[in-house]
Amino acid sequence: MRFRRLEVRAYRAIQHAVVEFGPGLNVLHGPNDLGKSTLASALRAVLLLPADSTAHQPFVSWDGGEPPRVSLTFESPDGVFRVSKTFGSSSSALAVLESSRDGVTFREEARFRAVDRRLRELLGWGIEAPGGKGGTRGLPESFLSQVLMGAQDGVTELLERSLSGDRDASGRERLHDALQALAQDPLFKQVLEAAQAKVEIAYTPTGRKRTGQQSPFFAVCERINGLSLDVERFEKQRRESEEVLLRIRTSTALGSEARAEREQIERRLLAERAARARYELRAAAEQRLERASRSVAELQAAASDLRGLEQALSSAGERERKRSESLQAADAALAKAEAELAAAESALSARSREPLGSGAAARAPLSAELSALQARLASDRALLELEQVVQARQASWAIEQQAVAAASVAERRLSERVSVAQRALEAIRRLEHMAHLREAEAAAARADQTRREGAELERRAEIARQKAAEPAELGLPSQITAEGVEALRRLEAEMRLAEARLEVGLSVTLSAPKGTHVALSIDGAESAARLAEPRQFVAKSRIDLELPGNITIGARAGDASLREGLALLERRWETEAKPWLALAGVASLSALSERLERERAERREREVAAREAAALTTSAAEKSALGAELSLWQGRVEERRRALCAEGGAITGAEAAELAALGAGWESALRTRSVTAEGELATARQALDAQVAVELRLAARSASLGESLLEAEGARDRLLGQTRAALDPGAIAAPKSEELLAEFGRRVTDGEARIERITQQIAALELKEKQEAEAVAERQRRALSTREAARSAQLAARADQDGARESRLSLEVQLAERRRQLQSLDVRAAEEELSSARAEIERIGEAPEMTAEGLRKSEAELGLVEARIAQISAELSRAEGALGQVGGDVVVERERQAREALERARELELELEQDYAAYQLLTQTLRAVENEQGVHLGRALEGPVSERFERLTAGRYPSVGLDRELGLTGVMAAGQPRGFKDLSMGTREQLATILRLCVAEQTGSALVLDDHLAQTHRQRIVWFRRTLEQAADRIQVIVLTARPEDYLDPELVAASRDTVVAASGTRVVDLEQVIRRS
Amino acid sequence: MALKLVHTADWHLGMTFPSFEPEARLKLSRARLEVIDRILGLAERHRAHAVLCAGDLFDDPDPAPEWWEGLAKKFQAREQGAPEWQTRPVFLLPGNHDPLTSNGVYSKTHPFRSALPGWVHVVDRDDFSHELEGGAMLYAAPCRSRSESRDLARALLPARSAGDDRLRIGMVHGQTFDLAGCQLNFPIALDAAENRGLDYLAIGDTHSLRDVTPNAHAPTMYPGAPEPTHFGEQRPGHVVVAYFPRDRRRRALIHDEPVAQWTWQELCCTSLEQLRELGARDLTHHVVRLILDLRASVAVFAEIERLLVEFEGTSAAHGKIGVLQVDRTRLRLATENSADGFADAPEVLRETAARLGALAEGESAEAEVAKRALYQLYRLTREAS
Repeated sequence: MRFRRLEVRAYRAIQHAVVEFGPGLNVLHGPNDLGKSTLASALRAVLLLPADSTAHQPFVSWDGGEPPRVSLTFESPDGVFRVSKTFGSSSSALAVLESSRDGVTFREEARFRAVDRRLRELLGWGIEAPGGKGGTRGLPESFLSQVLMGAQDGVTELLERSLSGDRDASGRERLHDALQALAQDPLFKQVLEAAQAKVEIAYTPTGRKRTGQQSPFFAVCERINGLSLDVERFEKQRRESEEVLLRIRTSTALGSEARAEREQIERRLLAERAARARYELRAAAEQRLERASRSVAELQAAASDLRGLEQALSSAGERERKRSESLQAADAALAKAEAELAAAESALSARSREPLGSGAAARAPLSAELSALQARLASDRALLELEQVVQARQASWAIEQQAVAAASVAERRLSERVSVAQRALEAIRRLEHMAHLREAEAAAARADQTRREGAELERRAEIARQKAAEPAELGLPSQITAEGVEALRRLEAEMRLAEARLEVGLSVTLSAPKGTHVALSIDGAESAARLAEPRQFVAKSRIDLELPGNITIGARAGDASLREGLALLERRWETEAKPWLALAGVASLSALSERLERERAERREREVAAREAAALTTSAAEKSALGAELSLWQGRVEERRRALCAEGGAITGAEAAELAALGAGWESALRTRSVTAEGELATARQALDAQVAVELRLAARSASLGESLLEAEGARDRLLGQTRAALDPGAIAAPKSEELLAEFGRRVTDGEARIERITQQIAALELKEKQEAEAVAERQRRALSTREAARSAQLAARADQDGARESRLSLEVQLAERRRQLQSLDVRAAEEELSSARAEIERIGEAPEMTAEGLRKSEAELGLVEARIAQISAELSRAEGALGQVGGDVVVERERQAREALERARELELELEQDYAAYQLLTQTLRAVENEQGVHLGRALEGPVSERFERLTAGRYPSVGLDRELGLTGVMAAGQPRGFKDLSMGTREQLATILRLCVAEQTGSALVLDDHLAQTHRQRIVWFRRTLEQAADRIQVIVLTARPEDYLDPELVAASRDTVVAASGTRVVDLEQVIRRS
Repeated sequence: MALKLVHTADWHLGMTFPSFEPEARLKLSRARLEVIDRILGLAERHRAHAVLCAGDLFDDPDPAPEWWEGLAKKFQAREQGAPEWQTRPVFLLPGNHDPLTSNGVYSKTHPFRSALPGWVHVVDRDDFSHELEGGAMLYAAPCRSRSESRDLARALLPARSAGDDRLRIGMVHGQTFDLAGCQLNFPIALDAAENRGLDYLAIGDTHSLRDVTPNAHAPTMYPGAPEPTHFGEQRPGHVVVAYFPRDRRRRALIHDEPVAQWTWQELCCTSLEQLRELGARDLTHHVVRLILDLRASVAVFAEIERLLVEFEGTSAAHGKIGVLQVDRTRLRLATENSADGFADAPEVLRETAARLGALAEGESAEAEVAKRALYQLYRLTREAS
């Protein structure tokens, strides 16, 4: 901060005073009681005291009347400000704060209390904001306000103060900021800066991670995002692959199971069919055996009966002979009963006249026919059963044949389906070729167009190059730069400002002999006049008069320092601006600026033209390169056209229409179609393969059935041959199977009916015969009974004789019948049949029962398994078709790569995050440690204070101790620490001044010293003068003193009856000249 | 010899190496194209009768022009430099990474095809066959998708017919049945060569050199990738030269030739000394994954970082290791004696180090950050002083 101007009105003893301050050392001198401290007080009041504070009372003018008014213009890092306060009661007080950018024009920024609030912000001296409970009454003070603007009587009080007394932290913060750099170790500073630089790269000031393109995390984040998407995509594809694999494995396993089951069922069915055939054969054979056994048994029984009958006949003959002998012996005894017996015998004779034994005779042919019929019936039944087997096999064979035919039809259909799919695929490929041809034609056209555009671009590039190569028209010398012109413009502005400051008004009255010619220059405007009388010339700042006799009078307005400043600026203008204006051949800076601007515009135009030329050349080259593809595309067009012609000629209208309908998405559409068609083709091929396999299996089965049928037919024909030979060779000639079956069915039925009828006839005859025999016997018994009374013995004998004879005759009849029967039976054939049937049964072996129902069940089971296999095969085909569309091992590999890369990128991200978090932690820790160590502000300031104090005291006090709050803890003297109260008053004020100076230097603030070295010896004053002059190079120092010679050379003191500026830059103000006292 | 063949596969042109930094990625991707010169040169030196390239030559079915143009130029250059290539056919087989598709690099309409010299043949038919030197026959079948469960050798290559006594070479791409997960990746039966009556079955897919059927009459060979693709591959970086004796009953002689520019190696250092020793080795053509498994003081830590910079190189100096990937997950900073590293530092830095040291105790994430902060403090302090 620097003060520029102070104006005081009606302030205590000062009626009015205006002081302009220089930027460096300002020595404001005047005798005691002039008002130096009042000026210092006014400075403090205008900066620190609210205008309506009751503490203003001491400032009220001793004259009374108008209220005290103070106006101060000062510079701060925030700009130039002017604060004006009129002290008084709340109704009359006024405070205004104005700000300015150029130091000339001010704009109001705040009023009343807001002025003080803003001022305290600007100063940052640790003074709390005005108002509020517990606020300071009177002139507020702080450590810094006392250091920088302390009152004359409080010089050494400073040694007892520190920052701990401040009610606001702003002073401490400002000192902390100012002293921090001083306190920092260079190594620490470098480490902190390097770490902080890293933190700033990665984090925002609020500590959030940066996410923009410049962020170190950006690239790796982008990479992680990209890789995550890749991993997700590949994982999905891999899962699809695995699902397809699972489907294939499942279908394969199910297919294997189903095929195994089918084989098992087929084997079982084959076995069952064989068992069924064997069972049927065995049943037929067993029937044959049974029939043969029955025949043989019958034969054996007949033979046995015959033998029995022969024995019975022999016995009967013997018995008859014995009865005859008994009868003859008893004839005599029976003579008496003959009459009676005659009657009975007559009846018996009547019985005997009847055809005795006609029933048996009638039964004999019937019995013979019955046997023949039974034999034939057995044969017919066997044939019938064989025929049924044949017919069943024929039916199966016919079904198989139909299945083979159906399979053949299905195969043809599938073959057609394959052909259709192939044709569809070829059509799609042809469409693809056509589309490629169209694209190639379009590309060739584009390439041609591009080539033409390239030529046009090249032409435009040439124009642009020519423009870029055009020579500059203006050609300012190279040393005239925009920055230089801008500096000159600032110089010109400063000059104008300096000139404006000098425009305070000037009047010169010239008296000369009448007619004297005067050459005039008033404020730079030259003219001439001839004097007729004394004349007054008025100017703003400058008048030059040239009178005859080389008499020149020059009058300049304004303060000497301002004039000097203007002169300096003018000299700079002469040395810096004029040569450039001459070089450029222009008269003014604005003209030079205009030329420079024009030249820059031209240069920009040329640069633009050059860039455009380069861009156009590049574009033209690119276009030419693209155009060069024309021949390639034309070649491809021809090649594709030839390929298309070779495939079937030019594009048909329908094809063209189809392509047009597909539009721009033809490629994906055709790819989809192609995939579909390929899938269809693959499916059709697989179905065809499966169908062929089925057909082959059916054919094999049909052949097997045919063989089995032939075998059954052979057996049937053999038996039929035997039957024909045995029974009725002419009855069935070359019969058809159905006819044979019908004939044999009919024959069996007829035979069975005939047997039934004959059996019934025989039974009727036997019954009748029996009844008759019983009737004759009854009559004879009745006759005998009748003769019993007469000749019981004769009758009995005759009865015996008759019985014996009847028995013998009966036996003879039976014997004859049996013999005839035996003669009619072919015993040998029956035995052969029996052997044959046994042999067949033995050949067939065991044959468990196998029903047709069981066989049908197994066949139905086989059909179900076949259907399941077909379904599984279709699913397998679909899965294998899908396999081509999934990623397989490629995707697994890609997923692995992407996962590895993602893992690596995440590791990298973690490393980066940890690295930058480490830098952040490092920075925070460094700052925390520094803050804790650095708040010991005394350590930062001890060095410069000690150094100066040691030099001032010629090494007597080598060091000064300051605490954390800049409170003085003591000094070292003779190797021992001493309290500052051990120092003399003069040394104390010197130490306080050094401390103030050091603080002012570190904070860059102006320092106001009001008779601060009253107790100091001259020798040390000299040291301070030199020190203050050196410090004034960096800060503004305002010394208010009654002893100007302490700070100035005597001649300068003498010369400073007006304000002067020494060669060293020291501004000297004789306050007697500027203070008007009441 | 009746026939000499160079057998290669798995070039994977266009393969990106996403785990690596961009500069390393570029080096490794380019190496895949550069190795082709060495392969073709090898064929010239051995006066091979043909070169079989058994699939996965591109990493993608539709690679960027940079790769297919680069490959076509390699062939074109050979044609101009060595006319004998006119009689030395090269066969390019589409694999599961670069299957034969209607719009892929191997499709007849792709510019790659038109850029190939006439002696470079693309296996673009299921029934592809070509007569080689001395009447030997090559049969090959391409992959038409990324994944399939069909054994192309058994499904597509024709069986030897009776009376056919010629040398028969087969070429397919896929995984042999002894490899896990082969079911979906064009499985190849171990007896496929015998089954089809082949004298040699040239296959590709696995990146490691391997004779799959060392005891069979007909070798089934994986030549492996000519440049490794990742760490842990067994014997990558070779091509196979197969010599077929005139007596067909004798097994083909297999000779493997190293061609790789890069050797991939995982190294683990458990001490600073081991790390220093690495600097003495010539690893300029190595891709090294360096696992740092040690506990180091801040001073050693700083030395490690310095060595790593030396290994990796800077914009001003080449690194001592061709491509370096550092795994620091097992590198731990020992903080117990960290104060020693700051003995000469100003108080404020010593105090900062002490506080960071206290925070760095334990294994938490915050402790890890504090350890790094401590290390950075050490490094910055050393650099500044």
